[in-house]
Amino acid sequence: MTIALILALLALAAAALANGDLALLGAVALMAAAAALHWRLASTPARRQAVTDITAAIAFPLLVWQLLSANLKLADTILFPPPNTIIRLFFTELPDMASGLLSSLHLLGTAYLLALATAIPAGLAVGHSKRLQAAAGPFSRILGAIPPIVYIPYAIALLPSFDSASIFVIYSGAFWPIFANTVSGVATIPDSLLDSARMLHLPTFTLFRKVLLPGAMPAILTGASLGLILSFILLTAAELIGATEGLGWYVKNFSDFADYERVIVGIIFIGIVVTLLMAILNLIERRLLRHRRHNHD
Amino acid sequence: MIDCQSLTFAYGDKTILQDISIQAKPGEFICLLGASGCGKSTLLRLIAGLERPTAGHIAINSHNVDGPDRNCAVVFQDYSLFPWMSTAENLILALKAAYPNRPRRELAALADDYLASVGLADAAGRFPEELSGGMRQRAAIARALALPTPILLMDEPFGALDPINRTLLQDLLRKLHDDSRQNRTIIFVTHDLDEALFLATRIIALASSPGRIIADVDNTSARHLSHQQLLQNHDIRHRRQLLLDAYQSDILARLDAHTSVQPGDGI
Repeated sequence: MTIALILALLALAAAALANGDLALLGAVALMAAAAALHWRLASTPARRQAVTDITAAIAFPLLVWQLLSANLKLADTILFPPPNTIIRLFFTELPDMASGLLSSLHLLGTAYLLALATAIPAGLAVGHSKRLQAAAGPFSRILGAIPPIVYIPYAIALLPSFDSASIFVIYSGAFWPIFANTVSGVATIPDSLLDSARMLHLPTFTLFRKVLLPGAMPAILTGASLGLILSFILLTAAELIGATEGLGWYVKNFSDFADYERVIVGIIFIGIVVTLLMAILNLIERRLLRHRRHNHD
Repeated sequence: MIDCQSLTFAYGDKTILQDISIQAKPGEFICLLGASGCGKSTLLRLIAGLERPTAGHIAINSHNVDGPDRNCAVVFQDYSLFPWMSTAENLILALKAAYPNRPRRELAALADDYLASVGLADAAGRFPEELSGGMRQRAAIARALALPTPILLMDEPFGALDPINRTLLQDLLRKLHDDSRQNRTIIFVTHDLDEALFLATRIIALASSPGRIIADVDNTSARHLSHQQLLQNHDIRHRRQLLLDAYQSDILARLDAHTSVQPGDGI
């Protein structure tokens, strides 16, 4: 496998060089270097295998793409622009996409933080009270089941600005997974811990902050990452429909002009942004759940 | 000061506890002894105010118990400590609720003192899951002792420990009870007869279905004996036999009452 991978990378470099695709050559060199570094740093054979597999999963399709679109010119270059063009365009378009990202993140951040700030306290309260749980159950099941995407046209018609409409849509998409996971997170707290809390006569606010919130935290984090993914989907969907700037608009705008090179660049950029956001969330998760990392016995 | 008057507790149509009356005086160390399922933990939860009796009533210092009671601290078999806080933070949280007006620095010092008293001075900054089962129960006991409650309720606290740790913690608990200045009352649930004989000043034996008291014996004389002496002491061996006999005769009495088998019926 490793030898096949090295051959594929060499073939890729040769194909790039033969066509004078220097940007692709640089990207392949960077990829090979990153893979080699990870391979050296890998602590177990299984991780080493994973590095090989992941690199292969990128290298082989890239090789096919390069051969078909650039070297052999078998593919339609409007729908399948060569990798080299995409890589060069990515860097040219970076300033435009970054300003689009800022406008998108403004909407996403506002709506998502609003969802966290309301869904977590509401979920803790509902999870803690049997009465609230019985009352909120049907609403949560029905409202949570409606795909928030269907609100988009109505929200745009109803609310004064596109910004407020998309914040509303993203908020209603992110709210339910965070809320539902918080409620079920409270249910996973062992009864004897809650009995312990009752016997200590903790003030209500302390009970929520020091017992229910950390007790439900693993489930809340699951809900938070689901909510973040959903927020991003709704953000781009809203921008596809009604925006004049932002990442979703960027992709939509250029596909209207059949500029698929920029569409692909935009998609790759969105992928990178989502990956970075999830990585940040993962870091926060490890920090918040650090008491669970060291089990001994 | 704990006064249980003809307590009955039913779950659906199953009677768990029937007509239990116990009066406990300050400073007593009562072991509630019984097999699993006899309702001894339920009785403890009734006294704590975590459950309400179906009939009868409980008073602590002449006040009716009608919710988690401020006179009681509880140590459960597991999960008494909050796993997301360090051991010291667990104690400070409890102390903060008991003494809302005292500065945190003072409470932290108090927490350290109590952790040191159970031999856990070094574990203050560690999370419960980093500690062994025995250390965790020490910390739970330290938290209960740090609270200004006259009553300490313990629900099989050593049930999940290995025999060595169990013995060490029994020694520690008896010593802590001897030392307790406030003359603390302890009610300790166990299914282990030898544990009860070692710890208790008084043993109340419960039989099952429904749970009821079948023996109530004074055990003060055992309190100055070591584990080793306990095995050899004539009085204690006699008391041990007495309690076993009580269970034996309860089983026989129930066989007589419920199963009058006629010859040939079973075939």
